[in-house]
Amino acid sequence: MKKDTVTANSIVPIQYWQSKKGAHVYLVQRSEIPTVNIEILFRAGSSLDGKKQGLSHMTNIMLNQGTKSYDADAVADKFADVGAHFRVSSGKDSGCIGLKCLSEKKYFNLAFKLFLEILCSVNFPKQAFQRRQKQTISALQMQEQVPAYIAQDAFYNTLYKEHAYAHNIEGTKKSVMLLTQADAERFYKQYYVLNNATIIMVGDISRLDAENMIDKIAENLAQGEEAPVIASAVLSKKREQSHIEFPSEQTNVWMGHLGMSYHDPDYYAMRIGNDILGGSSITSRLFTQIRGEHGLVYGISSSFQFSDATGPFLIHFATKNSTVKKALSLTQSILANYISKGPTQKEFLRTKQKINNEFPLSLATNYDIINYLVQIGFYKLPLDYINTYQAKIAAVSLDEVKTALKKHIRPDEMIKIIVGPKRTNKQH
Amino acid sequence: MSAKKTIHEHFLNNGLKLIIKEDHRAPVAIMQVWYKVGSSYEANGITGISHALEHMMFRGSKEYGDTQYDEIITENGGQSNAFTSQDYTVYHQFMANDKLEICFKLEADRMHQLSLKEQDFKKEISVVMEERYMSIDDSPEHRAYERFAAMAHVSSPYRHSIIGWMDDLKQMTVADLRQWYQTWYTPNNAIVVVVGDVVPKQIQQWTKKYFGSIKPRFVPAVKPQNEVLPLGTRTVTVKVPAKLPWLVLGYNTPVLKTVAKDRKWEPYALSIMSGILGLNSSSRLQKNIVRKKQIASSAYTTYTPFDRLDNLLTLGLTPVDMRSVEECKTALLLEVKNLQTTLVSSEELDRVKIAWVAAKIFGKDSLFNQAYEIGMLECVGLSWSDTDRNTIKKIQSITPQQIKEVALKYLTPERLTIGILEPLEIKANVA
Repeated sequence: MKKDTVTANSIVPIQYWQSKKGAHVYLVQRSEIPTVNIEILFRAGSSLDGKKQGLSHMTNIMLNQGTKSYDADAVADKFADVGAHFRVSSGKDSGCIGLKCLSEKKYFNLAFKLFLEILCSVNFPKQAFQRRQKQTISALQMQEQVPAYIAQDAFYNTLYKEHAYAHNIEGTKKSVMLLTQADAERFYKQYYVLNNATIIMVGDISRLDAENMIDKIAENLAQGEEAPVIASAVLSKKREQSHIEFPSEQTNVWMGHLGMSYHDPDYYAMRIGNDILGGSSITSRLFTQIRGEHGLVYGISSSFQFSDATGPFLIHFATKNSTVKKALSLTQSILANYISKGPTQKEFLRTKQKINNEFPLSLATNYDIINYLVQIGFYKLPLDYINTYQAKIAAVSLDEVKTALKKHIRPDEMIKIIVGPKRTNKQH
Repeated sequence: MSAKKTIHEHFLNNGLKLIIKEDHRAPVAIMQVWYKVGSSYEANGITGISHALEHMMFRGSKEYGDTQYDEIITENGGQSNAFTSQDYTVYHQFMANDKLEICFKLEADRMHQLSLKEQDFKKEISVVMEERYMSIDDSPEHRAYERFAAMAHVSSPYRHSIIGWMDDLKQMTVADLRQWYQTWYTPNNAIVVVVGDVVPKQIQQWTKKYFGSIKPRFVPAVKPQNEVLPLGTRTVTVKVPAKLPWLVLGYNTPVLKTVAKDRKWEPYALSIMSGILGLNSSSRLQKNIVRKKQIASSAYTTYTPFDRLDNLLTLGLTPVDMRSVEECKTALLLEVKNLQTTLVSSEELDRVKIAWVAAKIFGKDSLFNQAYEIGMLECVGLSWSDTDRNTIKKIQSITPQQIKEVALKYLTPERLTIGILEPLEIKANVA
């Protein structure tokens, strides 16, 4: 059942196949540097927490805390012995484990053996679990003292309400304390399984070695079932606003509404449309006017977040408390003007050219390629996504951008979260 | 390692140094222009001026006025930014290799004919203040660290933060910046580093064509500013609204540049020692304090041999609550004592050594990293080629006895500064 696809003659030749037992594998061979990266992504993010907020995160951060044969110290030592980096991470959609290692056999084999041991016999020791709980509480407290985090948390809460994207991936101080190791073990058994996995490999490795390794990974993971992809939230048209009082020098502002999906037909049009408004570019309207002309902020950006369910479109910035009104009204007028009139012909052409010219930069490193494979593999973008990207950008018309902007950015429907002092009696 | 020469060094007649490193993995290249000036060059009263000038470098020069710099880079699909450190100010462009020439034009123009207009400065200094609010004043740990550094360094200019004190920013004028620019921005105080899929001959030609006619200027001699001998433990408690305490211990230590000629191994030993304590999850602070004693939720150490002036080796912890601050301090001092009394095991030592080797190889994935290593070493006054060749050898040669020796010599109460962040209740109306 090996279905092999190689995107031949492409900028980045991606080899895709399904291993025995059916794992989805994405390999890019790059032999210039003697290193190998393996990332396994599972659909095991916080959107699957249910009532147990923070469970996906707790499960994920237990994966380097011990196996049947080794405790946390031994796991750390063994990876360190060969200079390997073992990394766990999780988000709203995924839980991930990753290994970065020198490709020389004497290092790699040892690291990979331990990696497999973790996959099949991670054992959630009780003491480690309690410690990880406390560390998570500490991380949550850390977030409570930083206004940008407070604003982000409130933004997702307000935007998503009952939807599973509403809560912080780390949970709340209360919910984390209620979690048990049994919860984490159950979550692991259900979601960290082969049918729910996307395996990514990049680096200095032969196809044959890669296949052998994938087979071993497949042998060490339970077959299990694929987790369902979470449905999108229902659009609320209520324009909510809240001001959270906080004794900071700056006021943080987060505003936005539900955005769009990776698979939206307007994806490429909005890549251009948002770039001009406040995307990555330092020549965007928000940046050049609010920072450049008025000196009100250090950074301001607008972005679409892409995920399984529709992610947000959001604009955020921070400015000293005495200028928040001014910055906010400027933002709103730039936004209103841009959405109603769209980009100028000159901006449009320049931005298309810019996006296509900078595209090769995003593919320069192994690390960059892993990022693309995560999008392609986990979010099921077409295998020729990289190859067709520039042509798709080139094919977008100005009218398409104008229409898409009106459809996907709706100033009247934005929620707004403000974090900072309510009254500013003194100047700073 | 490789027989083929992939690294090329050149000087222009005006003193500009060019270093090219070929890397043909992707059709892209990075260019960095390094100026030997940063916050450690600043006297009291003008702290933050190097960083403020870095901001103004994007506000137009003679040929390319106002916002043209950003526009041109952007149209060409380039990514560009800059950063200021204690020892250097760096401008970088990342481009498709066939578009790189424009970067030479732009950088040459702003190297010697920056506009520095009053009305632009007013806006930009306000942006800098916003940056300070965000990165320091609204971040309890960074605020605490700023005060800690101001106490740990006595005579060294490392005592003030890169962004500068707020009052100095408020008093800064565009005339100050003009003078700073005239003093330090000259080809004989700059290094151009290019890494990527380039033809070295072509890069040399562009460098000569665009930078070659810029006249060099006299650059003031930089004083050594060695740190005075520390005379006893200092403690600073910072009380700000926060949820979590924070603890940092800093020891005054030399660096490769400042240490005596026959003691050049010491900074490498200090670096390994710092790694044994806090390099990764296998290090002692994680094992003993985070996992075993469980009195801190996170831990780190910092030390680098590659600064320009005497600096610090720091050990930092986030205690789980206010009660554990004292315990954490005791625990850190116990770790220090262990290093002074017991030789580190060969397993621990080997782990730090292999980490250096691996980091060197992992670092090759990034063009930015490769260019950074070159520019950084050159700017702190070390030859990057010697250092690059020797570092791994030097690291490999360090013994457990040497680690014990530097622990006894430098991790002393006299050299110690203790910084504590003591959280005040976050009350809504105290602003």
